[in-house]
Amino acid sequence: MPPTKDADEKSIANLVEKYIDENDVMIFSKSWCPYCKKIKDALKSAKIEFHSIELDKMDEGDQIQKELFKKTKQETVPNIFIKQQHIGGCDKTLEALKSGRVATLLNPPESERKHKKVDNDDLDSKDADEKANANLVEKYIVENDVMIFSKSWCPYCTKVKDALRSAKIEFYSIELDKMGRDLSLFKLLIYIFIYYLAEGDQIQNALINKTEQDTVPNIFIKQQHIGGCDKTLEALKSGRVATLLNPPESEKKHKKVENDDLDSYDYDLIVIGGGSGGLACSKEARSFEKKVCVLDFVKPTPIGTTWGLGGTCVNVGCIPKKLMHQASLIGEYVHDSVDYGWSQLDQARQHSWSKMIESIQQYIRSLNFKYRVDLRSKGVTYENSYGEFLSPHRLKLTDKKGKTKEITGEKIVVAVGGRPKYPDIEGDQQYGITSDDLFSLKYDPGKTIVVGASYVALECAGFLHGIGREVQIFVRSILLRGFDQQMASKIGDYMSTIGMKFHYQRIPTRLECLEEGKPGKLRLHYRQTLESGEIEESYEDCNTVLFAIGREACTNELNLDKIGIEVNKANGFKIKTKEEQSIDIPWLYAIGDCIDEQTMPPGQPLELTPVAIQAGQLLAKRMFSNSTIKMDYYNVPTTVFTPIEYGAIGYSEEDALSKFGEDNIEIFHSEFVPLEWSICHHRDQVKTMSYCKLIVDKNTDRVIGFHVLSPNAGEITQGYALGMRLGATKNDFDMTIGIHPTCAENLTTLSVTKSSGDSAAQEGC
Amino acid sequence: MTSSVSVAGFDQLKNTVEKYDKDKRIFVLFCGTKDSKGHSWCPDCVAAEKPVEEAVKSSLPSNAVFIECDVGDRPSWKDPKCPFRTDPQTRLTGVPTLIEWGTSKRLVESQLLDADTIKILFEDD
Repeated sequence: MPPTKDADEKSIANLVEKYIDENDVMIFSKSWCPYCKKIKDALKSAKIEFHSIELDKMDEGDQIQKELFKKTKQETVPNIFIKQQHIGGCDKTLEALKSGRVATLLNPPESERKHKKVDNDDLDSKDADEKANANLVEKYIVENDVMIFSKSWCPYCTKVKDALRSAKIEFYSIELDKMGRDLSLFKLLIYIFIYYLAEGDQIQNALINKTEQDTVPNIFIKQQHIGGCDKTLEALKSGRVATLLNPPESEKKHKKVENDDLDSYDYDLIVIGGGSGGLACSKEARSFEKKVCVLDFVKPTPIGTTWGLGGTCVNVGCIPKKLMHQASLIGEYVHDSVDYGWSQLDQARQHSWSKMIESIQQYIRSLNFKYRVDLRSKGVTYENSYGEFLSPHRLKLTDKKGKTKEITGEKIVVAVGGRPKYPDIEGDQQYGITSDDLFSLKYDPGKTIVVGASYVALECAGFLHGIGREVQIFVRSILLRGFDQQMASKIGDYMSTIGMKFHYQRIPTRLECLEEGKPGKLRLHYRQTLESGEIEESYEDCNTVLFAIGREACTNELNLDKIGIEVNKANGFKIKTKEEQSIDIPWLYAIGDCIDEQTMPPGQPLELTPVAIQAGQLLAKRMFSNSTIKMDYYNVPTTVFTPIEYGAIGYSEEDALSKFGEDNIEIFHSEFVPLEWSICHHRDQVKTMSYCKLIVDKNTDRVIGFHVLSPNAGEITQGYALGMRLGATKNDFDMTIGIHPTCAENLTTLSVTKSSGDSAAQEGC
Repeated sequence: MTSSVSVAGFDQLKNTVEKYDKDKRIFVLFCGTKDSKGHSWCPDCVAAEKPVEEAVKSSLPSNAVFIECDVGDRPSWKDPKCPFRTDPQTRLTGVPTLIEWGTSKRLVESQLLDADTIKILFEDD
């Protein structure tokens, strides 16, 4: 038996080698195996020919499988070889397909092919070269926490570098295209200098060997291979980059901070933050006759702006924003007035920034006062102090004079909200402003560049333009990330049509002050990626630069680490919560803009006053009574107050498509003309830009997405939000009689679907 | 209150207020007329006297003026056409009322029984 076995084994081994040698892509498979089927389907889709044998249908099947195990240490099928290289099973091969490695193996790049023409004599130096390059690559990877192998012209390399810069993460990059000789010179001298590759290419080859990735950017963080631009952006977003760069100290992980129950506390509840959420929560707690303290303190902006009690919404958010939006609408109505028979209003039109600021600030101050009196009358203790954790129930308070004291609370709610981000470029904090400064700006902003494409950026740009200031908007990539993109692009179209200049793919790099003044003259240097992929550096002069690139939670200086909570830049320093309780530390609560709440719909965070208010009130009820009512973060209506307003409830079209699938949703839509605009000549170019759509779940007829772009969209959307909450179907919308003539009625008469391809332009009336 | 100014009637109030510089903060306390013994016909005004006095003594800002304004006797005050009720700058609905002139900040009736609440009104913005 043994001799036969040996002979058998040898012939099996030869057989296996034969299969591997004779087929570019060889799959050892089994007919019933789903992974074998999966990889074969994938290869078929990629139009890659392969040869496979079904081991379960062969007499020698078992023996072949054993031989494969000997050869590759892999005992499963499918077992796959490409150009005699062992790839692995289904997953490894799918990866190799995805990363392009399969393509590279089947069609090695010219340089390698040229390699093959080299005499054997040169193979030694080739090996030595390869080793040297591998070492060089290792050196770069080891010596730099974040290492990017890049090419200077590559937009994805630029993209990921910008993202890292924004995240304030230092990196080192080398531009492979700028290293060594220009390959083209040697194309003529192929047969002599074939092996003498440009150093950059050699490094790229070494990277391919190391990572199976042949593209740039090729990125390593703390010596871990991350991947290209997309993978790195994902890792940034998910917090993985932060974790790699700042691994939680193992002791911190093990030493979970224990809840140190005290015998008695100064307060039943301390709320850190006197904004929308904090005030609502504290006042609700008083209805249960608890002893409550609210801490509110505004750290001044880099240029010294500060404000009173009430938080962002009252002082530097919703309230002044809506008033300024109204100021700009009034300016538009003055233009309209001509066609309505009013004379001379248009010519006499003039806007005083200081008068507007005075009116608005006076109103805000009356609200600050109202809140102070309200807290006092409800028996909430108010401390105008900055709070920091000393231990789970103990806070250190520092007032504006620097005096400190300590207080203890049985329950603590963090409601610190957020503040605008700066782009971290030279001159940003010194010469630039944010929304925190704009609403009380003591001088006319003049010609303004708005950097950003958030709703804050677009709303501010909108009203600045509406009151007659020249506005340019620098957009890094897309408008209103997280919002329905069709609606976002319609907003962009409207705003450009009425005269605002958008500059896409433009990133500020430095802010310079040419002349001091109120306003002064500024020069904003920027980098622009042109359509060709080229990068142009230039500058734009203006009076004011407004940064509206996003907001971050104010959790960094609370000493949250003292109570075992970590926050990181990847999610805006927000506290991770579930039902407004910290997921790390169950006895700590948080509400409002500063939380990353698990029960919120994924995608767009709901940084809204009414959300914080209701969450705060329901939380107080759960903390101090038997209530179990949880906050419902679904179907929250929102409105963007751009010059043409955009109201939305529920799913965006993108989210609906990805969650339900194209076949399961129907989208009804219509353009319409607001009657009030129909007779106004100055609205001619924008008259037909009002638009609405309903996204319907075909299976239930329920309306899952509501979108309206029109004047007064805020008022319109609020009413329909009640219907959405009650589960309205498309039929409910259709059976609701409209009020005529209004913009809102258009939602009750939608009949044209996107899928029909018919025109959505309004007919009749 | 020795350091405060006393006026009676709407016209006198208007004339007095106009005399001050723009940078001065003006606080006006509206009360019912006091009799020869110094007692107002309005019991709420009487109750507010001590807390207001305490707040003014301890917390009236240095750049502020405190004016006590007599709105008249009971029948005059109750008249719906009483200028203190109708004039847009005051629009009073009750006495006592304490306002910061030129702003919409005001405290009324029971709010004036608490000195700390009055101090909030006096606070710098």
